[in-house]
Amino acid sequence: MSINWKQRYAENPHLDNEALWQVDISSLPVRKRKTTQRNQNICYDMRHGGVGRIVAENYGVTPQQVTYVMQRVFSVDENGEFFLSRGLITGDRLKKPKRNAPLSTKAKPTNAKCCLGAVCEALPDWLNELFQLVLADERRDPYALNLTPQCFWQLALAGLKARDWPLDTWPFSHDTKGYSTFRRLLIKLRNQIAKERSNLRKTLEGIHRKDLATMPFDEVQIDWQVCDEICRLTTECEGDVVDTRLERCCLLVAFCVKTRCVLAWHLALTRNPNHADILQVIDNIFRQRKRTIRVTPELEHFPGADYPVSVIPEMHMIGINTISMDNAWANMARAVCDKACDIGALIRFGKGNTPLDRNFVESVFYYINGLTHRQANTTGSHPNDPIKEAPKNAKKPPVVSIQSFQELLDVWISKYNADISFHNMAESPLQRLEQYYRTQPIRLSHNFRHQKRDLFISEHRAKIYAPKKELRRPEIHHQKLVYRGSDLTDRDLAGTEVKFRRDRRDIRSIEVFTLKGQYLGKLHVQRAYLEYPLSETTYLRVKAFVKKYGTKSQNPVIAYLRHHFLNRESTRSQLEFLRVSEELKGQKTLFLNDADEATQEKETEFVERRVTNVPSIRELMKQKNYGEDLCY
Amino acid sequence: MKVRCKNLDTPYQHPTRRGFKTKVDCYQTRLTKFPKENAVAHCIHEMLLWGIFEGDPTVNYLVPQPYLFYMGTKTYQPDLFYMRNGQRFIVEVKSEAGFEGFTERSELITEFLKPTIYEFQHITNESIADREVFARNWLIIVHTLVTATNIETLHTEVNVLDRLYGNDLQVGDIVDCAHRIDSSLNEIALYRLAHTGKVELDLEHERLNSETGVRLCR
Repeated sequence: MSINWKQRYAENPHLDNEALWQVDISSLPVRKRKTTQRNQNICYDMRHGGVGRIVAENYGVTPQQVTYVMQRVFSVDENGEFFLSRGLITGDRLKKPKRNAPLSTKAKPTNAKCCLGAVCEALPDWLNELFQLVLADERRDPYALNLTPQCFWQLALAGLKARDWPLDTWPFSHDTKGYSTFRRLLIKLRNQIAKERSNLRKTLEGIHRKDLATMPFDEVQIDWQVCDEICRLTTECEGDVVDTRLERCCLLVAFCVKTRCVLAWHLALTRNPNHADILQVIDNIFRQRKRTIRVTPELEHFPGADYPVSVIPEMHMIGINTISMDNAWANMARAVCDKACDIGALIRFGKGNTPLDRNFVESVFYYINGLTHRQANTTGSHPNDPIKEAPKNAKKPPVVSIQSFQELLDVWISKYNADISFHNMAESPLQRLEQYYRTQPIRLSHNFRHQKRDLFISEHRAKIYAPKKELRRPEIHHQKLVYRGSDLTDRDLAGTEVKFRRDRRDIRSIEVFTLKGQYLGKLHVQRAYLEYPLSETTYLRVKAFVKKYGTKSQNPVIAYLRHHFLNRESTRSQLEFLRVSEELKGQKTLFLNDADEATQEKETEFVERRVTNVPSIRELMKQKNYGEDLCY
Repeated sequence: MKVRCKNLDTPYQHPTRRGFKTKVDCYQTRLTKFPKENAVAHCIHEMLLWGIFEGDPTVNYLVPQPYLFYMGTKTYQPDLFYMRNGQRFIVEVKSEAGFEGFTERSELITEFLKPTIYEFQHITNESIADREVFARNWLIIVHTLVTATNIETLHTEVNVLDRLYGNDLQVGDIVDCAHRIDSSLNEIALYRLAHTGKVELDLEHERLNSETGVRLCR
């Protein structure tokens, strides 16, 4: 029989001391403060002779809740001490969960709650052995095993068997043999090792990293993840409308640490973003606005949802102090480093395997995944999990067009900026940003007051080329492109070094200057690439395509596009087709010919060969002795 | 063990291999005392040291990752080179515990540099961390100056000096935080004066704000 709290209170008169019942409410998380204060008041009233029913009425709770609070504070921990004020804090687990009932057996199956803890208590060396296995795997020792969840599970069961664990007791009593439990144990052990490593690293480095983002734009974290969306591409070919599944895209997000505000996002239509996508998301920080909903009916933005441009008029001049990214090669591209440093930022490429250093942007992805990710299976989403959700329970997510998906993303992400949260001083991120902007000296980049900030424009140096044998206009060669124009006709300039300015988003023309900065003129690329606005990334891919497959077409860009259109079975080709066509079309309508000239030629050859290989009907009939007359 | 160095007279930033960049906390930025290219640091303390040297008007010039010393079959790259009042220093940044295993190499380098005009210095992470606020404040100022190269402030600098003559003011007295764009010239002039050592800012303990103290250097 359990002892009543009143009995315990009477037996321990030293508990009258009010100092034992004090809780520092201000140090608690905001969400716990109100309930903890209420519990403290209830406890005080009850200890001073209050009647449970009346106290419950006073504080708007049930009498059972009052009893629960009192029993909780007078419970004892492992050391035999009362919880007292520790029990007043709501939501805190006071005792480590422990299994009191005997373990489940085949003869008497029960639930599997806290079974692993009971087994570990009984066999501490077994747990230590498992820990050593994980540690070896994490250290990549030569004798380490490749610890997939399945492998770990089997090793754990083998370890139990080796220790004569009864084969009718948990985990052998269940059909699954505790697979999910051991998978979770593996993750827990890995996390434990990672935490110890992290602490060790901090100790060796001398200081702990402090969060020094005391101002908006002090630290902007940029990261990307592959979106688990299902998008389709609708194509019409000879009257047939076909929906094709697209490959998954990458979502890049820029996030301000101090204000918890999503500054910008960019959906890269590829699985592997490159430096152009990173530059795009940095560029979007200064100009991202709400999208106009065009495709998705009945969808609209939440009230107040927007981006920083709406609250900061001088957003184009704002200076970012630190840009934190991971050490992906796309992030470390020279173009990204140069441009980010040009805008006066300090770039930080985090060490590998330390995503917690950029935990804020990871939390945004967690929020976004609420929209995009499918529900996790019961066994988790690890690719090596052998047990999956049954097909009958698996739900097919809706398939949307890429435009709809972008609109959905825009609505969802802009809502994040408008949501009021308690951990953010009970303000929305945008409100907080605006407040800081009005009162604090946020850093400004004064060069951009009169000068347009464009991260895609780069300056290069080159020599003017004018071959003596060919009497054509002088030209500039860059990335195997030839730029000529009516502004540069003086052949005497051959060999002179000049600098030119180029837009990475449209490589069709360049502006040429002397080394002293005098404007010489505008030159244009050769005719093959002149028709459509072509980015540097696409041009390099077209060049690789032409090198690999060759083309006799006048326009290699259209040949490249047609190649991806014809490979409709490949989701990757479809995504690339979509990306290039979005880039090219601009104001024009794209027209793809029926077939490439080179392809046509190949097909004709094939037909001719087939005709020559198959004997004619006349010959066949001769062979079968049907006579020549029957042929007609 | 024999120590060699190819370019002792002309320090330049040695490129960091991409594989190494992915293994360390890598920082890159533009500095006013190293204007040629992006400065690269391989840990947070090296980066903070830039800020400390940028805030020191006696330091004229600095180069991160300046040399490559060949020591037997191994190579060694110090973290920073800087010039203070004509004296040249080569710096290695490590934690106190880290320097315990560095004595042999350190002795070799010191011996090698003895007949030259260079001096080999140890700076501990802990000593840099003590001045973290100062360093970060100066990095902010440097970033502002790097992005304000097109703005001429000669006359404004004279005006600011006039106002400071005989008065100790605050940043808020010179830069109007409510109208930043209008007082941008004052802000840049103040930072330029501080950078050249004509004006002193109280940046040791608090982040640069409108209440930061400003006074003329004695």
